[in-house]
Amino acid sequence: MKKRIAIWLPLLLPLLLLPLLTTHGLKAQDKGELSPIKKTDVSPDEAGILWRTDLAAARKDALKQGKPILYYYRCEP
Amino acid sequence: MDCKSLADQLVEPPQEFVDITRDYVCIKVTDMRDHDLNNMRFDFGLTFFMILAHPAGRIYHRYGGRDQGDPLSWLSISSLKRALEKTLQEHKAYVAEGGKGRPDRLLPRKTIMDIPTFAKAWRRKKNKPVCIQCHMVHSAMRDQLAAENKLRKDMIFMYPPPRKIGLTMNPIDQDLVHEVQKDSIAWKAGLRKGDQLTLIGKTRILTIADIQWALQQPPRRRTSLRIGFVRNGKASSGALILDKNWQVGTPEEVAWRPWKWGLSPKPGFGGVAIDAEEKARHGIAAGDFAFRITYLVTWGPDAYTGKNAARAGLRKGDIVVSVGGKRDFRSVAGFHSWYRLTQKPGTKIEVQIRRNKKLIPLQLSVLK
Repeated sequence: MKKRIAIWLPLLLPLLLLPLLTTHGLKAQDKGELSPIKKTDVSPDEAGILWRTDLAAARKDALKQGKPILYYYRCEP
Repeated sequence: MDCKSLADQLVEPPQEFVDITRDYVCIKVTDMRDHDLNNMRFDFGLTFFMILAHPAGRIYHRYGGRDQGDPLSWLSISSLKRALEKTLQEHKAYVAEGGKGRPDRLLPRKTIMDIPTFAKAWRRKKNKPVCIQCHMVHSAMRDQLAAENKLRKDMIFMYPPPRKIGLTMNPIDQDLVHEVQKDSIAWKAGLRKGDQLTLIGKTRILTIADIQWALQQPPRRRTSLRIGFVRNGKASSGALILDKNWQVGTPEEVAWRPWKWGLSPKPGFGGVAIDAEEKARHGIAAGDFAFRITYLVTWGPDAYTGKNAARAGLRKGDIVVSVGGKRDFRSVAGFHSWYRLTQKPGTKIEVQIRRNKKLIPLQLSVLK
C-alpha cells in the first residue's frame, strides 16, 4: 500500500493542487492585483525610441542621468 | 496639418524627433491603474497626452489637448519637437540653478482605485478590461461626484481652450498669439497678435495644453488671473478678468467629451448621421441634420430610458429630423450633448421622425 502511494502521490499531487492555484490566480486578478502589462518592459520601437513602462525604475534612471521625463499617455477608448 | 495623426507618426517619427527624445527618459503609459491622479493630473477625457517633467515630480509642461474642432489640429511632430527642445533648455537651466525638481505643492498620492464608487464597481466586475484607460478615470471622477451629489452639469466645460478667452494660438509655436478676438477677455488683458504668452496664473506657458491647464485652475467665481507676455522683446503683464460662468458655452462645444454620457436626462436612443443622398431620398433639406436610430438603450441601468423612447413610439431604423424643433445639430454627439445639457426632466419634447416616407411627430417624456 505504502509503495503504491509513494508511486502515485508525486504524479497526482500537481493535479490536486491545480484547481487551488487557478482559484488563487482568479481571485488575485479579481482584486486587480495581476496586471496584464509587464511592469518591466523596455520596448524600443522601430524608430529607436525607448518607450519604458517601468515607471519607478525609469524615474531613478532619469534622476541618475539628469534627464527630464517625457510621459506619453496613449489610451484607446 | 499632417494627414496622419500624431500617434501614428510616433510609430515611425522623423530622425530629428528621435534624436531629441534621447535627451529624455521616455515613458509610455497605457494603463492608468497606478497613475497618480493628484500629482500627474491632465485632461483625462483625451486619448493622447504628454507630460514633460523633472523625475522628482515637477511638471514643466503639458502637451496635447483639443477643442470642439479637429481633434488633431494642435498635434504635430513639429510642435512636439519644439516643446521638447524648449523644455530641455528649461530643465538644464533649472538644474543649473540648483532646482531639486520637487513640485511646488505635493498632494497625497491618489489612484483610480482610491475613488470609492469605481473601486466598488471594479471589485464586482466579472469581465474586467485589460487596462484602465484615461477616459475611464474621467468617468470614475464624474460618477463619484454624482454619488456625492456634487456633480454639476457645467463641470463638462472643463480645460477651456484658448478660444474661450478670445485667443487663437499658433499651432506650431504654441505660445505665440496668432489672433485675438476684439473685446474678448484676452483683448481686455492687453494681449495682441504676435505676443509671446509666457505665464497664466502660476503656469509657465509653452503649449496650448499649458494654457488649458492654467485656465482650468481658478475657482468658478468672478476672479482674475495674472498673465505675462513678451512683445517686441519686452516683458509685459496683465490680468484676465473672469466672470463666474466664463467657461460655460454651448452643448456643441463639449459634444466630443465622453463625460456627457453620464449626464442626465438621457434620450434613450442614438444612431448615425445620414448622408446627403439618403437625406434627399427622405425629402430632407441638404443643410438640415438627420440621423438614423440604430439603437434604443435596452441594457444596463439606463434601460428605462430606452423603454421610455419605445413607449413614445421610436423604433430602430427611424430617421430623426428634429428634436424640440431643433434641426441644426452638427453631429449625433451634438444631439446627445444638447439633450443632456438643456432638457428638463418632467417635461415632454417633440421628436419628429421619418418612417416609410411619412413625417411623424412623437412626444417623448424627458425622464430624470
